[in-house]
Amino acid sequence: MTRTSDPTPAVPADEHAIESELVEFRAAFGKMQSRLQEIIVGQEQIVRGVLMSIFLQGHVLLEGVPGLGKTLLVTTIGDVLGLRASRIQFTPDLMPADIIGTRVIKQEPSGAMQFEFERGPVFTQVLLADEINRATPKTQSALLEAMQERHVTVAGVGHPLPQPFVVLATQNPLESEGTYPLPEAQLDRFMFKLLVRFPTELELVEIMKRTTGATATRAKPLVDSSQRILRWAMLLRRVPIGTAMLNYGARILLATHAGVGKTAGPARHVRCGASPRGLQAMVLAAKLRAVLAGRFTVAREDLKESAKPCLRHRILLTFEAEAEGITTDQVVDEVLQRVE
Amino acid sequence: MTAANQSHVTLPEFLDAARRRVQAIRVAGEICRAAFWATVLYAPLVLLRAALGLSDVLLATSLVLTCACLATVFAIRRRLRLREVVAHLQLLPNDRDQIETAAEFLTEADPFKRLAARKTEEWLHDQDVAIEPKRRWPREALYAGPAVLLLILLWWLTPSVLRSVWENSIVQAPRSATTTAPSPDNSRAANEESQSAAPQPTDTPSTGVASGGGMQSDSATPPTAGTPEQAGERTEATGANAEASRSGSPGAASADSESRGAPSPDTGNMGAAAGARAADGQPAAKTNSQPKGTADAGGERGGARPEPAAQSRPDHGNQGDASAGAMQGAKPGSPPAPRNEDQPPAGSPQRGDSPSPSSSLAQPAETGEAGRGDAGAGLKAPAPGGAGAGRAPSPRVNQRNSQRPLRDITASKSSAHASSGREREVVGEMDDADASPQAVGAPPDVASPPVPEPDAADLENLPARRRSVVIEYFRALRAAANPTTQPNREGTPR
Repeated sequence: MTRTSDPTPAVPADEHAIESELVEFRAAFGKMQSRLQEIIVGQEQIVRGVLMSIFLQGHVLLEGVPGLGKTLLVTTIGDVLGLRASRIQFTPDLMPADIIGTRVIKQEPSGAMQFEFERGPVFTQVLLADEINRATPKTQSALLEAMQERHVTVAGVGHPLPQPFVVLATQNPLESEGTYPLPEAQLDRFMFKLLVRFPTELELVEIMKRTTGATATRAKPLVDSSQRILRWAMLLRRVPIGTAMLNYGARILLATHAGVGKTAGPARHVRCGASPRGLQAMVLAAKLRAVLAGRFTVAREDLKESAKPCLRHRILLTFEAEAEGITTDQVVDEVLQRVE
Repeated sequence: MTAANQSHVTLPEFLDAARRRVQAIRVAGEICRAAFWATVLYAPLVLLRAALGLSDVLLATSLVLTCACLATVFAIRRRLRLREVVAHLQLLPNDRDQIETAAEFLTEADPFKRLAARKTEEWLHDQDVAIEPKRRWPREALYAGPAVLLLILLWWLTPSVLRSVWENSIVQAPRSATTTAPSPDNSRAANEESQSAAPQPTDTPSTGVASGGGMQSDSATPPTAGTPEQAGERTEATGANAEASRSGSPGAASADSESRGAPSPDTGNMGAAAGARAADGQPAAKTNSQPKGTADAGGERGGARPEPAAQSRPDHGNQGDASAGAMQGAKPGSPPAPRNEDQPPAGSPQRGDSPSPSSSLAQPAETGEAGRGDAGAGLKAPAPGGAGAGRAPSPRVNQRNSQRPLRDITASKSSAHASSGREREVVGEMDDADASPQAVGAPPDVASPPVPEPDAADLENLPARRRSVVIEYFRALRAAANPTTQPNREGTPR
């Protein structure tokens, strides 16, 4: 198995260079968000979350009814960031090879026949997996390796995915017939789970004005190369976080776990708590939030704000809690109130 | 801590200054906490210090020392570390996290961490308002003030109340008198009150026999206040009065003499006073119950007769009264015969024997029971002269009492009236003598040696107060032997 990867961009070692880079990133992030908001009406949290996931190289699970602009968001992000974007509509008859690619027989000019790997739609930088829960588990699992390892293996040969690689999957919370709910292992691969709310009246009016006109507007790219995005991503990972903050995050994570004697508190509704990946996602998101807030260290407030998107899809509720209509967001809220 | 306006304050400097401020506040809180617990710890001791015999100064000193020790222990146990300082400052949550993280990164070489520390220092420099530490007081500190106030109140209120209760519970003399024992602190006032509250004498004339207790029992009901031990304590407490009475100051001596004369009939004081009355041939009740402050009574008793009784009380309490009663009982008769070392004649001052038949019948040789003012003795020996015929204080008892603290002596005095075995054991030898046949009209005990007069060397070795007592005692003995002044009926010295 061969594996290739892009060279890791160097991070400046000087304090002032680091500071200027972070200041530059904060300004660029603001511009990107503003440019996206020119196309996407409303959904500020969704736009911000998706942008964050790209710079953190995480995957996002968008949950919302169809027609809320998810595909438009993906294409617009690709345009703004200068990234390649593709879309896969997941259906029950979708096969893994339809996602990652397959080997086909190709005849050379000399007349010789040989197998050649035909890349699938996963070989992109921003992948929209639309209605991912409609594909079979076998097809869904084909996406697992690509999401986690950022490369695919076909016939014993590994093929790295381009960097950055971000999967934006959507699922419809209403239609459950003919769907295959994502297994916990695959849910855990998503850094964020964002809930796409329905637009308000004003937002709907604005959407109609923008989309029913004669011309469709396209966003202009703000980032010249993907290397710049990777550089910023590496810079964000170097943002320091104190031990006290890590302890606080660990306490939050442990509070989501059911245990012996936990008959009271939020853990009573939990069948399975969040995994360590959840804490990793919280810490990374907190670092980015701290930089966006003009700070160079992580605060508890950053961890709190990152808790819901990072933990809500990693907590499995008990049957009683689901029957009572308790959501994971309520559990996370209770956890944040209790943990100090 | 003025973090902002100080020019180029570094993070370690800020944290160090903040730690000093926080530590000072914490130490203050720990002192309050220690004060509370020390107060709780010492409240029972303060409450019972009178019963336990604890010195006030010692108790207060130990209280302060305990408080200081507790505060030190608390402060050391809860000492503040540098990394914990930030949690005790009044900061917004994000600012607190920023400083806390920067403090952790102070020694790091990573440029990102150094950048975080530098940015934090810049933030501190840009702050316009001072960062104050949180004023967190321990829960005990809220109650420390009231607890200390309660302890002070307890301190001021408990001695008189508890001590009087304690004394009442111990004394409980089998008397029907409805007395309220005065506290030692205000014994003089209580004595004066008892005197003022005492009923005026009915002027029942006695038969003139040298009877102490007998006379009192026969006489009109005397005032109610005053027990023998209290009388003894009063004598201790009012030594100045005794001195004044010796000096013949009517006003000063009257109170003292009245305080001695006030007790109930079963008291040794009454025995002494009655002895004096019997010796003077005056009605006991009248002499005993002179109104307070009258110059005649004070001068009469303070000038001559009662002095030995008053002066001998500090040593062995009522025995001195007995001796006084004996001496005074010897007065009305013929002048006492010269002392005979081998066989003291009847009526010698040491024996308190009176030449009159009544006094000789009442001579309780070796007992001194009636002279001690024992109610039982006074009433058991209704024969005239029984009480007034006490002998001089036994040197052995005197020596034993002189080696005991005042409380024990007081207790032994009070035990003379109590019927418990322990109390009677203290004066057991006298009680045994009281039970002897000599108690009823028996001839004087010739085996009892007379009290030798001390020489100058012996007097030099005595404490000043005791020396004056002994001097006055023997002076009174000599005066009894050669009376130069005889109190008249009006009580004025001749």
